[in-house]
Amino acid sequence: MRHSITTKILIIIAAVLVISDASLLILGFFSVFTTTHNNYVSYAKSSATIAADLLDGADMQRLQTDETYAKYYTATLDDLCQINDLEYLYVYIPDTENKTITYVMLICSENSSYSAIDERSSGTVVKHELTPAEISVMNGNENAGITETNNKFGCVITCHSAVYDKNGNVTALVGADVSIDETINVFVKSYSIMATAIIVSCSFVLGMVAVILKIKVLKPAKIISKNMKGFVTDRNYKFKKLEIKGNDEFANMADSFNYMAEKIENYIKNINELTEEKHRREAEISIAKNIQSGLLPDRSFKNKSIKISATMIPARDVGGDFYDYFTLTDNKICTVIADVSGKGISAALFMSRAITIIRQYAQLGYSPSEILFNTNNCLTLNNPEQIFITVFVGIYDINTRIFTYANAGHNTPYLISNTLKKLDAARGITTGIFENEKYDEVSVTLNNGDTVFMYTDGVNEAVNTEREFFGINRLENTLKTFRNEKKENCIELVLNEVRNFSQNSVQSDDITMLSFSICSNSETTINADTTNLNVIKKLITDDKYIPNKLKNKLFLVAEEIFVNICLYAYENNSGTVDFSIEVSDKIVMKFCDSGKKFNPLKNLTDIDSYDIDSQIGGLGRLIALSIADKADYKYKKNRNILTITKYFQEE
Amino acid sequence: MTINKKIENKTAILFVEGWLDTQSSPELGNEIDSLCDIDNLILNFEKLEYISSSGLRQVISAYKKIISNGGTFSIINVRSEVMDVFSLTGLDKKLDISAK
Repeated sequence: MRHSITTKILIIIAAVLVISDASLLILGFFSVFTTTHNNYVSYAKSSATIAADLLDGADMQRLQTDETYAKYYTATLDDLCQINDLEYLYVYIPDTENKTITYVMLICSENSSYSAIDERSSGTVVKHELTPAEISVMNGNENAGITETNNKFGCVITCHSAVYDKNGNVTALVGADVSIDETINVFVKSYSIMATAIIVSCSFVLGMVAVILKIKVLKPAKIISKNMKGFVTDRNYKFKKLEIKGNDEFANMADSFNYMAEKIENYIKNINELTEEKHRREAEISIAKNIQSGLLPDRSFKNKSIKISATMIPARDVGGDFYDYFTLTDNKICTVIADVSGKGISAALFMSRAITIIRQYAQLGYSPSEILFNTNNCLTLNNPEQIFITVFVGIYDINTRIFTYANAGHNTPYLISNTLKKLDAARGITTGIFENEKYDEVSVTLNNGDTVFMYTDGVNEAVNTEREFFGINRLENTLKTFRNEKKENCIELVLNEVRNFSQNSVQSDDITMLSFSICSNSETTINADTTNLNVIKKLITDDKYIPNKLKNKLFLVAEEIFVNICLYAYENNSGTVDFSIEVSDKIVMKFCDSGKKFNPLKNLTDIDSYDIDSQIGGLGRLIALSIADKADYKYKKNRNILTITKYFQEE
Repeated sequence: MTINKKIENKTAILFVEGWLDTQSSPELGNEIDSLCDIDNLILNFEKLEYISSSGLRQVISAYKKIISNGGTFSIINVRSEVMDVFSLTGLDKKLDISAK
């Protein structure tokens, strides 16, 4: 826990106050005590001396008897007693032989606690052995003779002095008594005044110090501290400049703090502005990304004759690569893949221009080489940044199955059939640089199951953590496995390979691919009646793309499944079956019915343990699924969907 | 599908031609049921192009009927594509069956 500096300073001041007060009081005690004591001793001493001097040469006997004679001395001694605040002042004649003393005179203070006048009146003889002090005084030592006694006359300090006659003989002794009680009273009185003064003055001085500290140090420190704390911990705290007064350390501190805070405020403001700007830009780029992806057609397309899949993964938010496909009149489909030099916004803008131009010429009915010729001229005309685009354009004629293509500096695409071939054409110069360039045009006839694969250099130039390229060899090996391993989609296959290869490396270039596969597709909807098997039979028999040797096998599968649907799904009630057969590099038959939910893949006896003596049911399913290379059952929206796949080559 | 038959010494030979599928196989069943006073049955599949599970069922029921009466049952001259279906179901091991 943190204590405020005020508390700390107050504690220190209080400690100083206590210590200084205590030491001053102790010192004062001793000095006042000594002074008071010495004063009273000197009163007594001088009184005794004065009285003795007054009485020098006086007749001691006469003083005892003649009142008139004594009156003058008595009055004088009385004054002396009052003036010097004595308790007693007395004159006595010592008798050393009899060890007695005879009182000549005794003056008593008005305040005396005990009146000795009656007891020690003139002429009274008292038994008393002289004290060493009295003896010393009688022997002429004036400075000696201070004794302290405590008897019935009170606690007193006594001073003695000797009275001499004309011949210098001691005739009597004078005693002057000062009350110790009196001195203590006086001491207490003067000491308490002094102590009060000490405490008050010390307190005052330290109080003043505290006030000055508070005003000059603590208050500015508190203000600075509060402002600093607010500034550091609470970003909503509105920074106020510290007031700078005077030229002390606090002023310097406040000045430095103001300077620092102002700088920080400015930095924060700048950072906020930059962040805002960044967010704005990101939002804009994200919109641009959406617009760009809107320019491209869907990632997959399928009709009776062709299956297209494509992907475009930009290295940045927007990219310069693009793919495109669209149908033309006369049952033709145009496919395009292109790579704009550079990346980011500029490439994306140029790309949007190029894609539009290519579409425009394709839709005018131009051939691939004509499309490239005109596109190149269009782009070259107005290209201040000298951006160039490599383009591959191919047009597939569904009726003739001929694929015609031309290439403007783009990576050579592949044809995947039983073997892997390059779609070779003289690679023309990239578009966007030189006018009136001519491009070669090549045609190839495609068969069912053939796949054309197009890509941009983002695929083969993908790098791994060791800075190696994915490379053409890896790409070709991957594409070879596509047919051999009977994969569904070659784009997914390549993309997976590239990702496995590059692991966590940053994608340095846009990755774009387009592939299309040739297929044929027939479909029909028939009533669930075994007499309709002829319809299916005809559909299979008449399909020119199905190899003859497979036709009976496929029909066997179809018959068994169809009969099964009629008997078990519809239980011989009426209903319809959607049947389709698609031939690409494999044959896919699909059966959909709305009958009872029935999974033909379940509860199937293993063919090896099939017992013909007892089991009759399930034989058809067993035959069908033994012939099929792949079977998949789904129950979706109250429909049984069974998909059977048969490859051309036997497993 | 067409069926020609020949009966000699209580042995019937059926010549089955064409497609033995769901629609046509009941004919084969009827034909076999109509045979009376025979002990043995030979199915000649030389010209059979196609057989489905319904055809197999007719074959199996005929087989059971003949065997239970103590006769002999055999299938001869089976084409390879039809034989495939027999081997798929394991029937080729149960029956006296010979290829073309």
